[in-house]
Amino acid sequence: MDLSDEALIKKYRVDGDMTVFSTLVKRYQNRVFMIAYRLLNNSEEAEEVVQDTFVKVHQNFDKFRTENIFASWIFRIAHNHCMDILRQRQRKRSTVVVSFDPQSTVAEEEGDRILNQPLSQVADEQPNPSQSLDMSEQTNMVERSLNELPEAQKTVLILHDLQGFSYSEIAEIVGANIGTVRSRLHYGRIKLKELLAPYFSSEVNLPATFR
Amino acid sequence: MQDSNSKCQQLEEALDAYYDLELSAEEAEVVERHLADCEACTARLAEIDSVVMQVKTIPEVTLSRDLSGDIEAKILAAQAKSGELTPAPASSVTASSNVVPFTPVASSKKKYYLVASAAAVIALSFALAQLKPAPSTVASITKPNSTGVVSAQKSEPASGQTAPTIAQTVTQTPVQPPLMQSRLTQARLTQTDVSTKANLNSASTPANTHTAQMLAATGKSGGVNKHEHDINQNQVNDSEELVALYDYENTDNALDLGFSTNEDGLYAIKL
Repeated sequence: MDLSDEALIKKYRVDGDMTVFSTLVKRYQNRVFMIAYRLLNNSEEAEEVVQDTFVKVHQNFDKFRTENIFASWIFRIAHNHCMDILRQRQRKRSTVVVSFDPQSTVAEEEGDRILNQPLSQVADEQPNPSQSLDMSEQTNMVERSLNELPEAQKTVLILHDLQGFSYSEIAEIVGANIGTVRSRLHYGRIKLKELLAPYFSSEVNLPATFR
Repeated sequence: MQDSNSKCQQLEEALDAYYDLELSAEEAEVVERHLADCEACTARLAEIDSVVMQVKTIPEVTLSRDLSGDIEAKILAAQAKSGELTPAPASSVTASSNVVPFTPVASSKKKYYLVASAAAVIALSFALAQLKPAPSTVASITKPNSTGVVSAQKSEPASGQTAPTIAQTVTQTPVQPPLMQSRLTQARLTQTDVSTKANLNSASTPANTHTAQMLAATGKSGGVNKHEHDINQNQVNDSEELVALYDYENTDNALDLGFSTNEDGLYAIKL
């Protein structure tokens, strides 16, 4: 029988046994990775976030109060790590000189997130909406559209619609009040609908090519 | 119609919360009543469902490997690193805020005191040898009593007793109170001159300390030895100098004279 988070925390505080802490790591590492990967779109950086998150959790273990939700605390630390990385990218991006080359798709093929977004603004590599979409392309399109959302809206959408966190948990993770979370989710969905509108029917939940 | 639009705007954000089951029962009931009469909001609810369903098509990604081992290694490395910053000394003395490590300056000072004290012992021994006291008479130095009275007296040494060196005198522990008291009493009884006695009593004042300091500083014996008529004048002079020196040494001005003492009670002379 698996022990609850609270029981494991109490046990680790008494024994200091690293295997107990590793149990907590194994319980949450995958979800932390999923969120980090969706926010960063980079598996290596997401793995680093997972590791740094749990190192920080361990360093600040004494500061955690058991009346709070341990999972929310972990994801909040992870979210902050992701935001730090995104801010670093933003600073780097502001110094990158993007050359206009509509024929070049190297940046996108390599998944270079720094160059990808500016290029998408000047040379749209997305398929024509009239082109047919298979399911993998459909998923790819949703991912692209999701990545075009403002970070705050994207984060809330990922945490709620992908990870299933409640409004209050999201508020705790991102450090905002519930009203803000609700608003971000609302406008994020509106924006995502607009981005997906060229590809999907707004009336029925099927790709345009399936109609 | 206008009321319906304002209601739609009012419930715009609430529709998302309604879809997410984040509204209270009362709020949800208000939304449901409106949805029953508003096709636009019903369509909007369907759009929300469509978008959420699209988002849910994004596949879940999973870690390619278990990172718990790496994380544990990182934690241990961080702990080791923080331990290196404050290493425990080899003597296994635990580092704490109230432990002050010995510094090279302190140790060199200690060496200075050892060398200087050795030099002082030699120099003072030599000086005492120059005094050549009469075998029958030994100048005895007593510490100032509680009132600060300084006395010099003649005493007959016991057979085989040798005159103490100055070094021995100044490094000896304070005379035991009964002995000191008896010597003081004897000294006072031997005083025949009342005025002299008055002078001696005045020695208990800080002014007398100053006199002794001046005495030692100038090397003059002053008038104290006038009251010891039955003692060899030279010995008295020497004794008074030693008394003054000792008295002066016990003040805070010892360093000015070139004498100092360390925590072990060893005396040093400034070279």
